[in-house]
Amino acid sequence: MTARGPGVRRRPRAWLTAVLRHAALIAVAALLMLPFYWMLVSALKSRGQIFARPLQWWPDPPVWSNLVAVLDYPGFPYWLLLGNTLFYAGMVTLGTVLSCAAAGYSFACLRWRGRDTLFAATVATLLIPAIATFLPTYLIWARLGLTGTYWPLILPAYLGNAFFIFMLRQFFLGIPRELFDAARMDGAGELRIFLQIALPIVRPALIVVAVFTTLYTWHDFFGPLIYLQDPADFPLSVGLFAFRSQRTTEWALSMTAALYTTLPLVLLFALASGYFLRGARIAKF
Amino acid sequence: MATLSLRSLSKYYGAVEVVRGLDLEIADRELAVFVGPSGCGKSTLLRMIAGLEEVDAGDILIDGRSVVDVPPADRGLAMVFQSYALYPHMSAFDNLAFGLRRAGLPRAEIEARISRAAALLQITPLLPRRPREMSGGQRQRVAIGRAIVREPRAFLFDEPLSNLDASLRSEMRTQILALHQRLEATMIFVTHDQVEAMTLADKIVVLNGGRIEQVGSPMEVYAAPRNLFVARFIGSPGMNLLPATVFASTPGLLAVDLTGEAAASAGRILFDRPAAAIAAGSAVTVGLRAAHFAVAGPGAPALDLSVDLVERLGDATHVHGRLGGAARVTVALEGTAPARPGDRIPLTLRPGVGHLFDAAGQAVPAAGARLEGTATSW
Repeated sequence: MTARGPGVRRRPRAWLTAVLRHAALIAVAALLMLPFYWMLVSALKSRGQIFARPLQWWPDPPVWSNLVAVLDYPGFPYWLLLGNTLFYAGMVTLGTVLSCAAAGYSFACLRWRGRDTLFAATVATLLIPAIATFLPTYLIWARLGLTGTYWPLILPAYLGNAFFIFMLRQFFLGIPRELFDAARMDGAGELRIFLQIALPIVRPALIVVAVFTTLYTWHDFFGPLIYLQDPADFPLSVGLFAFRSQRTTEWALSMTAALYTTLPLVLLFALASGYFLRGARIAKF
Repeated sequence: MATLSLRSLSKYYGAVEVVRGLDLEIADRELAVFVGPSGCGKSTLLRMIAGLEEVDAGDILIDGRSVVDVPPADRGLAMVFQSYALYPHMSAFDNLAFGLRRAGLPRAEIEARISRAAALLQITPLLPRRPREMSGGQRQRVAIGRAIVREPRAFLFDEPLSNLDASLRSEMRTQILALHQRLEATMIFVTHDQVEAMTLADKIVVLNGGRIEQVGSPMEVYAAPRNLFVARFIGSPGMNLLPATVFASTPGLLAVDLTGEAAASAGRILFDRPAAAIAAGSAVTVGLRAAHFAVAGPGAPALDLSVDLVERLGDATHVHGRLGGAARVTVALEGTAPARPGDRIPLTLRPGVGHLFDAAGQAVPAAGARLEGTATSW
């Protein structure tokens, strides 16, 4: 009896704690979801409903035609812009993952003169704000005659990203050295050890790098705005500006276009969420 | 299989010489065990043989051919690691096949070799599993399987049992012995556990500070330790080492007095037929294993043991105590001796036992030690 007593007393308290915890989580989640919800409902509103007071939390009636109209909107060739975005994000992600994995592995697992000094210098570059080097970088690309192309946006990704190099190095350091020794005894060379032993082991971390890079590039507005000149080259992030003119803004269609811009990312996250969460857990984000 | 020769082998980490000019011969089909305390260079030596560490000086010969410049995979050796080192993202089958694929073997040959090794080690049901889905013992067997499928000239084991619990360790030890007999392979086994060394080895190589202290069969090393380090390291419980002074030295007989605290106990120990004369007054060390003692009969010369602690092992009783009040010794008595803490036990020495070490710590072979009786006259 005495053993059961405290358990019985504790149960309602535990239940209450669980309810409060979940209520708090739901409230925060709702708050975070609100802008997305607002984008979703605005995408199905008419211009009148957009500016209606009091605010309409659900379009009445929903303007389903927006979903089609946005695809024919002049100045917003969705499929072309989506293709550009996929190209841009895909190439940057590929370059970042490849270069950062190679650099991180080299800093963690290979022995070469000046390795630690160069690693310290790489990490030190994190202290320099990107905007501070933007103008000189732009001037270099301009001198090379490559502004107006994707080269300035894509090529730097193949030269590594200091933060991801640092992160992947820590992952590679976590691999027991005996695995590499075993592979050497099995006749594997350094490249094969990197590709067939080290990379598969840090796969969750590579997926984290890939997802973060894709997210960042997908939403990147500043870089493409500065370097690209031909609207036919724009990614979705810059293309969205087609809905703003000097006199008016097509808010409903702008929201529909924003929805179409976001959906592929939602899809990507849904597909990679397992890996992403595992990687994030290992990376202690 | 293979013979292995190490010639004046040295290795430096910076200015520190971790392997110091070693010479060693390992015969074909021999199971040699490198044993020594942590940091003695045994794993480094094994890795040098494997080709995973560069050789700074000297030579390594396998079947008479120098392999110092040969890559690890081409030396015809296979290694089993302490942490098993199984590739975590591959199944057991792929772990076993990885090296064979690198060697360009046909698929049918790979499957045949894996099938044979799996049957030998009883790991066939484990082949589709990944390492994280196996227990420690199963992983160890797969790791051994990975070495076997390569059909190497010699096997290298780097403390492969260290991560296993006591019962599994004993079981795996037996399996490795059985494997050695079955494969008739040359094997080198590294361990810091002298029990493992004693039970497995055809030849024990005792290492300390990058040097070989003694090479020999387990019983040679146990029964005739070359110096104090080997005497201390080999055998469980460790040898009792008692400081003493030479009282008299005559041809065929050496008398020593226990010095320090032990002197108060009984005193004089006689060594028959010592290999060298040692001047009276010289400092020496008397080495007595726990099993060298027996309870003295009434009236016989005896060492006086004050009992501190008693460990009953079933077939023997380990009695820890002090001779003459301070010199700590461990005594192994047969059966369940009725000793209790606080007891005083008169001890004598069994015939033909005991070791003597000179002031430099080197063994002075003798026919055996005995306590001085009334028959001796000086």
